[in-house]
Amino acid sequence: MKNFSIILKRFLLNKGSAFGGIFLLIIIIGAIFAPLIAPYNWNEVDTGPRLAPPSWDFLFGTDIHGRDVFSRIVYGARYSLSVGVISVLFGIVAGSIFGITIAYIGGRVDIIGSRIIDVMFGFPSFLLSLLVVAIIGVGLWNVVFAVGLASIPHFARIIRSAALQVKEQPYIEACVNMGFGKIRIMFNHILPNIFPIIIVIATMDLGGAIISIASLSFLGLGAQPPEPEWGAMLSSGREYMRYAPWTMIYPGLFLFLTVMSVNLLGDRLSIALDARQSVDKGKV
Amino acid sequence: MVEILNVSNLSTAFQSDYGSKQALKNISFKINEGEVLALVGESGSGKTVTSLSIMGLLPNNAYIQEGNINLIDKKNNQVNILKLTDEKHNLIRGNDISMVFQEPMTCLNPTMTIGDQIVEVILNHKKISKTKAVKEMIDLLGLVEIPDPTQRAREYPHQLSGGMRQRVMISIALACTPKLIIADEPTSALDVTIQAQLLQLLMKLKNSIVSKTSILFITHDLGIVRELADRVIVMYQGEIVEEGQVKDVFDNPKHSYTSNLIQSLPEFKLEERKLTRKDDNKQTKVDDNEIILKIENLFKEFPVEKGFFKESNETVKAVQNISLNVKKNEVLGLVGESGSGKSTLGKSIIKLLQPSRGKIYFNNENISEYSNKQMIKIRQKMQMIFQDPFASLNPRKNILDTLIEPILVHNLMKKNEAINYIKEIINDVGLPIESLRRFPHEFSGGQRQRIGIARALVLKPEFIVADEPVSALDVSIQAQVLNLLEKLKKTYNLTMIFISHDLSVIEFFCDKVAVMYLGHIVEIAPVSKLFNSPKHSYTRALLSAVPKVKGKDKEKILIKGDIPSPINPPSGCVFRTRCPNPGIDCKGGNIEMGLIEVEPGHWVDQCCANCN
Repeated sequence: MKNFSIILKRFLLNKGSAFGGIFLLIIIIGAIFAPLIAPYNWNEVDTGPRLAPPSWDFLFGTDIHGRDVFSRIVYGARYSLSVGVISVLFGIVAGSIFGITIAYIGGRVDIIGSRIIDVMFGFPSFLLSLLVVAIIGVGLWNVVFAVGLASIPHFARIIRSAALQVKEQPYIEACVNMGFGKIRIMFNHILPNIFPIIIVIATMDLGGAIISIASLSFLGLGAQPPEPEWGAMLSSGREYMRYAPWTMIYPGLFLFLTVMSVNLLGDRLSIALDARQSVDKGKV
Repeated sequence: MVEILNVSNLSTAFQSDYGSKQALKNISFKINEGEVLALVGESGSGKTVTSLSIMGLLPNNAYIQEGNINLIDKKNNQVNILKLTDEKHNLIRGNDISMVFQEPMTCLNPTMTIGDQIVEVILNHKKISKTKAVKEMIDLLGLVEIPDPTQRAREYPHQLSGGMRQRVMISIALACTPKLIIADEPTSALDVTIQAQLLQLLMKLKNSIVSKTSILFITHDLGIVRELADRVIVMYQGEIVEEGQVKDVFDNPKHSYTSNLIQSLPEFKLEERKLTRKDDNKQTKVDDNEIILKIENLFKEFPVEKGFFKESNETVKAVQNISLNVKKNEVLGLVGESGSGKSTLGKSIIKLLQPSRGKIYFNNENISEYSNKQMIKIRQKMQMIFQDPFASLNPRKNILDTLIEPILVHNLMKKNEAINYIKEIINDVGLPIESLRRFPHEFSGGQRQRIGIARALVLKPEFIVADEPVSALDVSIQAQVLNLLEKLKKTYNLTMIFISHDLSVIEFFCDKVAVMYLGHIVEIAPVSKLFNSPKHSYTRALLSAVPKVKGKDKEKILIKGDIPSPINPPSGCVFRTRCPNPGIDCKGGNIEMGLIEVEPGHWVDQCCANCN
């Protein structure tokens, strides 16, 4: 528990991570209690005049169908955060299994596995997700799957090198000497020791995943109207940007702030989990 | 006697998230001109912090609370080092005070030739031309007895051996003829024979050219202190507990800590043991059933990686044609310098490494070709104790999980039974039951090694390979762990192979000793025979190279040079390139390696058996 309070202290003493943490907390609470917070139904048309500018009644204005932008953003938080987390989870679980396996078995398996990673790296990951969507079709969950799939090589490479390091430790040798099986050594002994690294790279990647999913939705491949996903909202606001910029500014702003908060948190997390740093050092 | 450095009331502390920790508590001492002052103590006693405080190289989270360090510099001015600015301090570092570090590899810049590195130091502190500096550099390399200095000056650190690198470090330290050289464990990372060469060099330097330079020698090895130092300071937990002339301190230690430290040395414990030890010379007939482990012509070679697709023909010949027997309840010691292949042999025996050729019989069962699956049942019977007690325990598992997992995997007991059984074992290795809930980082080095021993015992093995189990520990802890192993050996009926580079530990603990050199066993004998009448020149040199606290100053048998590369070992007898008295056949490499029995139970490599 002493360790935990020190990590917490390191977080709160830093302005960036404190801001990121508080903002994310607000977004998460907003997403959970959306029905209580949003003044209108997210899908109710003509709640007010169409393309009305921000006012006290419509905090962020209304869109072309007269829907309240603020309510849609609050509900949209549910999508953006959860799809980001799910796609990163998918990517990291698959990446961990792949990375640890090729690292521990080694030899030809490692050589072939590493080359597969290299080849997948050859594609820009965005292009790879586009390709996957082209094959399996349009839809929010397909996009989540595609973005997760495209992040696997990145995760697998980092986890492989971390696992290689742990594999050389004498306690793994001791496990072999005890007669433990491969699966037990890989997931009961190596995995817990690279867990801090996994948490850090997953957080660092969360921002990227949210952006990628929003971009694909913006292109019309992900969330379909009328779903209030932020990327899709940006897309549908595009045509009215000149007369009603608020239909794009606010979803964009929230997307930007969310991703920035996640990144700030991720940066700080890697420092906080590094036991060698002390409180006043390593301020971002 | 001129006093050149005076440390008074120095207190240093470290600040961290976990609060501040006092590293030095109000210590005072002085160093006279031309004397060698040794600073001894166990790890954490504050020896290195003292030297770093003097050099002004303390890490950022350390601060000096109070005290003065006064130095008489080259111009005979008295300066208080602690009051200096960083730039002023730089004028002193390397010029008035210089330092020799422990790790010669990491302390030399790998991208510069060693000549350039020495010239840089000279030019930094002296106003002379570059050609003059180069000439001085060559002289310095000659002074530290580096053969062919002009050629060597153009080489990079990785081209030199550890001993050579440390000589370069010493020559850098000597570059500006400083008033004081601080040597922080300069020989601890080196092998005994190389250490003996370096200590002899330091003695020579001290008695001749640099007689006005004082040396502050930091070490944990009491033997070195006895051989090299004039005065000694014993430190314990940041305080000076004893100070005096070396002879006085060793003969009549005043403080109880000092006398404990001396008494815990294996060479002292040996005395008591010799009284109780059963007579080794009595030959018992070897019954085949008694032999638990039998190795025949074992080889282990590692291919040298060349490229991605091509396999190279070159191999590192780590273990070469080794045959030996281990009887039940016997402890066989494996001793040799680093690179001699003793760890590789140990790991090949329990099949953590697959041997290249040869047979291993364990309880009359040939296990050398067994697959990993077939080995699982055997592994229960053969266990290993590792060198590094910290790295060999999984940091994310508490002690109970670490100990119970093997029992459950092998289905030896039910969970409740296993917990009770583990409590017994943890009690046997001398740890409290509460430690089961704790994690490895909460223990000290000695306690961790006890956990490592407990883990080796949980599967009720018959045979244990202990790979340098006490090398990472302080002397007093070493003695405790050795006593524990001794006791457990009896209660658990163990047969052991005990690997160590420390001859006194081997002499204390083992029944039979095999001496290894470059992958070969060169001599194997019962422990008393090997230590009293060694037959092989290498064994003799090894024995005389160990600095001893007791005993007269015998003439040392120094062996020249470094261990040859195991990729291209010398033909014939592998030791011939360093042998102090090789015969003609021997020099030509005409004699094959092979052990012959010179006395019952005493086997020596035939080359040396014939020479002498």
